[in-house]
Amino acid sequence: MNRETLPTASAAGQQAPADRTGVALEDVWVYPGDQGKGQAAKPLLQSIRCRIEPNTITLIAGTAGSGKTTLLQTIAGLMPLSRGAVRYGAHSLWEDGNRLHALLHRSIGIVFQYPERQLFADSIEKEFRYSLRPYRLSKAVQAERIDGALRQMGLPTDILSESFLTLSDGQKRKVALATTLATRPTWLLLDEPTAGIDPQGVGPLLRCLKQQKEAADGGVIVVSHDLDTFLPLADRVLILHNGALAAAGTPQELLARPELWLETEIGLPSALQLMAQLREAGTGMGIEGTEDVPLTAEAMADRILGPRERESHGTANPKTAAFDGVRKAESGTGAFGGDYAAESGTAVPSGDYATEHRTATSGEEHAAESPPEASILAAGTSEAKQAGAARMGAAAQLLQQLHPSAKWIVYVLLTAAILMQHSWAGIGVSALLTGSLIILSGVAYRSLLRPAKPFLYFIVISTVVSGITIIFASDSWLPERIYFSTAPASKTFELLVRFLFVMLLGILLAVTTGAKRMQMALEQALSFLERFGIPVAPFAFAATLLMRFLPRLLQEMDRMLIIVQARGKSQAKKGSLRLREIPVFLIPFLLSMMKYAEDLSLTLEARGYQLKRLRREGMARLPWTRREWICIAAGVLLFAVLYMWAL
Amino acid sequence: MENKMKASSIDLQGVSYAAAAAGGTKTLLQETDMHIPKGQWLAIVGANGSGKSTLAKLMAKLYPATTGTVVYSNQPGASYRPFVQIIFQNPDVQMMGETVYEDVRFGLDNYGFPSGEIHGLAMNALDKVGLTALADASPAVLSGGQKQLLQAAGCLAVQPEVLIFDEAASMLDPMSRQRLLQAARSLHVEGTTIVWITQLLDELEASERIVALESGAIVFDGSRETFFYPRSGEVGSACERLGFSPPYAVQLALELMKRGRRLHPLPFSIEELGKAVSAWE
Repeated sequence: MNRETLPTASAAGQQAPADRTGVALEDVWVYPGDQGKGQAAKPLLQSIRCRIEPNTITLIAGTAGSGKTTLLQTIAGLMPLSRGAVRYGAHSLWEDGNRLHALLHRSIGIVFQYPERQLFADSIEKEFRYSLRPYRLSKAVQAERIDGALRQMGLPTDILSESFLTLSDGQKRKVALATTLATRPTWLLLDEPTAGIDPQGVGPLLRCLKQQKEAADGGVIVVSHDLDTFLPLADRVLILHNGALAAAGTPQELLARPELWLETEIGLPSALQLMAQLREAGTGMGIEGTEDVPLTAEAMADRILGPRERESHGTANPKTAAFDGVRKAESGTGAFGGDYAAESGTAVPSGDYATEHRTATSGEEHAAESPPEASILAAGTSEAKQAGAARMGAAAQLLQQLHPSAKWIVYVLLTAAILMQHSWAGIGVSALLTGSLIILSGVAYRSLLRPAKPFLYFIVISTVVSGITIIFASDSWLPERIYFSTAPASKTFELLVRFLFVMLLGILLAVTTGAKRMQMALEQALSFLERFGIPVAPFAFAATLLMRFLPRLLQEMDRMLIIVQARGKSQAKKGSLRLREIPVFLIPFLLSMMKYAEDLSLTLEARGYQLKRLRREGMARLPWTRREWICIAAGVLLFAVLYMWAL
Repeated sequence: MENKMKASSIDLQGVSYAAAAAGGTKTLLQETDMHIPKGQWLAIVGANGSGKSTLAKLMAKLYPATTGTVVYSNQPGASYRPFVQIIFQNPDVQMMGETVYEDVRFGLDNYGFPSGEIHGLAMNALDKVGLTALADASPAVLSGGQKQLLQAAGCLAVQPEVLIFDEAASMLDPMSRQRLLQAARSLHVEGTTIVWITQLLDELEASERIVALESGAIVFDGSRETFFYPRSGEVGSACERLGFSPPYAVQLALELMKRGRRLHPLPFSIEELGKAVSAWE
C-alpha cells in the first residue's frame, strides 16, 4: 500500500493521543481457541503492555512455548484478542465488530517460520500476484514492485516464470520474503527468519531489515532465538516468559541483567557469557559499572585489547555481583544427568542484584516451568476440585481404565437399546443415560461438543424444515399459507435425536480410551487371527498411528489457514476459506502432510519397527477382571430394561 | 569401547544416491568414499540441499545406495543390538509411546531385547538424559528440547555403536541445544561414535572432524582447526571460503589474531576463548 495513504492521526473518536506513532499493546490477553481440551485454559499471552517505536528493530526473545510467535501474530492481527487493544499510531487494529482495520491490515507484512513452505502457485510471478492482489495496484505498478523486491533479495528476473518446485530451499525462502516485501509493508514482522536458513542467506536478510527500518512510520519486529545475530541489530528487546512480558528495554539495558536471561531459560548471549567468564578469571577485562557490553566481534576485540589499567576495583559493584551469580547458575545448568526439573531450579542466580530484579515470575512458577503441564500431572487436579469431585473422579477413573473391549460391548448394548426407543419416555431415558454417563466420565464437554456440533445443527435444521408446511393456492404457484406444524417436526426430531445419543456415546468411548490401550485391545481381540498367519499387530498399530495423524492434520490446517489469511489480507472469519484461496491452502498443506508421512515412516524404520515383530513381550496384556464382567452385566441389564420399555 | 584402536565403524565405499525428480533422476549425493573410525565425533555441515541429510540416511541404511555399499564393522555383543540409531529434526513426529517411559521402550521392544533387561535399560537411559522424573508423563507435555532428549534416551537405550543426529537441534532454542549436545558428549566419552549433522556452526565445538558438503559432494574433510582457522600463508579459512559465517567465539578469535594476538590453543567455544585470553598475562 502507499505510505501516503496511511491513516493519519487526525481521525476523530480514537482514545489514543493523536500524535502517537508506532505500535502500542494495551493490556493484551489472548486465550487459546477451541483446540483446548476443556479445563480452564491457560492464557497464551497475559497482560502484555508495551510500545514499539517507529524506525526501530525490535527483537522478541523467549524459549519455545513462551508465546513469542503468538505475540507476533497478535501484532499482525492474526490472533483475535481476548482482552486489550493493539494500536498502530492513533488507530486500533481491531475496529468494533471484530473487524480488522483494513488499511492497517494491509500495511503489515508478516513472514512466517520456514516461509519456503508456503509457496503454492505454478509460477513465481503468480505467487507475487497473489500477495499483491489485495492492494489493487495497476499492472505497471505491480511489475515495478515485483522488480524492486526481486532486486532487494538479489534474485534474477527470469525466476518469475519458474515453478517453486524447481527452486532450492534457499531460493524459495528468498522468494517468499520477496513476495512480502513487494507489498511494501510499513511494518515488517518476521518469525525466526534465520532458522534453517542457508548460511549464505543471512547477509541479504539483514541488509533487507536495515532498509525496512527506515520505512516512514514503520519498523521491523523479529521473533528469534538467534541472539548473536539480532542483538547487535536490535534497538529494543522484549523478553517473554510463560506468555507474560518478563522485561523490555534496549539490548544494553537487558544485558546488564544477566540473571534475566537465565531465569527465563533463554540462555546467555555469547558476548555476555564471555564477559562473565573473563571477569571470573580475574583478567580485569570483564565489564565494569555502566559500561556497554560490546556485541560485535570487532567491538569485543577492541574492548579486550583496550586499556588494561581498568583493573577491577570495588567489589560492591552490583553488576559484578550479578555475574558471580551467573557463573554459579551456569555451572548448575551445565550439569548433565541431574533431574531435569531440579536443574531448571538451580538456574536462579544468587546475588542481591539478581533478587532485586527478579521478574514477575514467582519462584514457584519457575520451578514448575520446564514441563508446565508435568507438574499439574504429578499433582493431579487442583485441590479445590479434588475435594468436590472425589466420587465422580472414581467413576471417571473406572471409565478410563476399563478394558476397551468391555467398554465396547457395553457401548454396543446401549446403542442398540437406544435405537429401539420409539416413545418420548424412551427417548427421555436415553437422554438421561447418555447425560449421566457423560457427567460420570468427567470428560470436558467441549471435547464432545466439537465433533457433535455439525450433527446438532443438522438436527435443528432438519426439524425446522420438516415442520414448515406450505399450502399452495389451488391454481397458482404462489404459496397461500406458510405455517409451522409441530407434529412432523417432532417426528423428525425424535428420529434423529437418538442418533445424537449414539454419536455422543461413541465419542465418549473414543475420548476415554487412549490410543495405546485401543491398540492393545485390538491386538488382543484379534489375536486369534494370528493363528491363521494374519499379522494383527501391524494393523492395530496402523490404526493407532492414524489416530495420531488426525490431531497433527488439524494443527497443520490451523497453521496454513493463518498463513492464507495473512497473505490474502482477508477479513473472513478465521477458519473459512474463499474459493480462490483453496489452492493457497491446499498445496502447501498436502506437501507438508506428505513430508510428515515420510518422516513418520522413516522414524518407524529407524526405531526398529518391523511388520512382523520378533516378540512383543514388553506389552503387558490389559487385565480383564471382575470389574469388566460387572460392567458388561450392567450393560446387559440396561439393555434388557430398555428393550422391555420399547415393547 | 574396550580398546580405543582405530578400527573403523562405518565405511562408505563409492556410495552415491539419486532420486526420481521432474524430468529424470537427480543426483543427491555423488560417489563418496568415507571412513569413520570407531569412537569419532564427526560433524557434517552444508547448506540446504547439499546432501548432508541424504548422507545421514544412507549411513543409517534407511535409503538404499544407488551405487556402492555402506559397510558396518562387525560388532561384538548381543545380536539384537542395532548398529546405528538416528535422531531426526522434528521432535513431534518421533513420539511413539503414550508416556515418556513407553516411548523409550518402543525401540527396546522392537529390537527384541530380553524382557528381563528392558525395564532396567529404559530407566537407565531416562536417567542419563535427566528425564526420570517425567517417566509417566505424556510426551505431549514435554518441550521441544525435552522431546529430543527423550529421542536420545530411546536411542541410547538400545546401545548402538553409532548415533546420528540429523539436524536434531535445529528446532531447539539455545539452552535446549546445549543440553542435547551435552547428552551426545557424555555418550561420546563412553565410546559411542557420533555423527552430528547441522548447518549451524555453533554446534561444532565438540567435533573432532568436519566434513562439508556442497551440491552432493564433499568439499572439505579435516579437523576443526583447519576448518575454522586459515593455515599460515592463506587468506581466510575453509569455513569462510565456503560461505559459512563462523560462530561468535571463532569470529572474535579471528579478529584478535588479525590484530596480532596469539591464542593457544585455538578456541572453538566461548569457554575456550575465555581461557586462552585469560592466559595472556
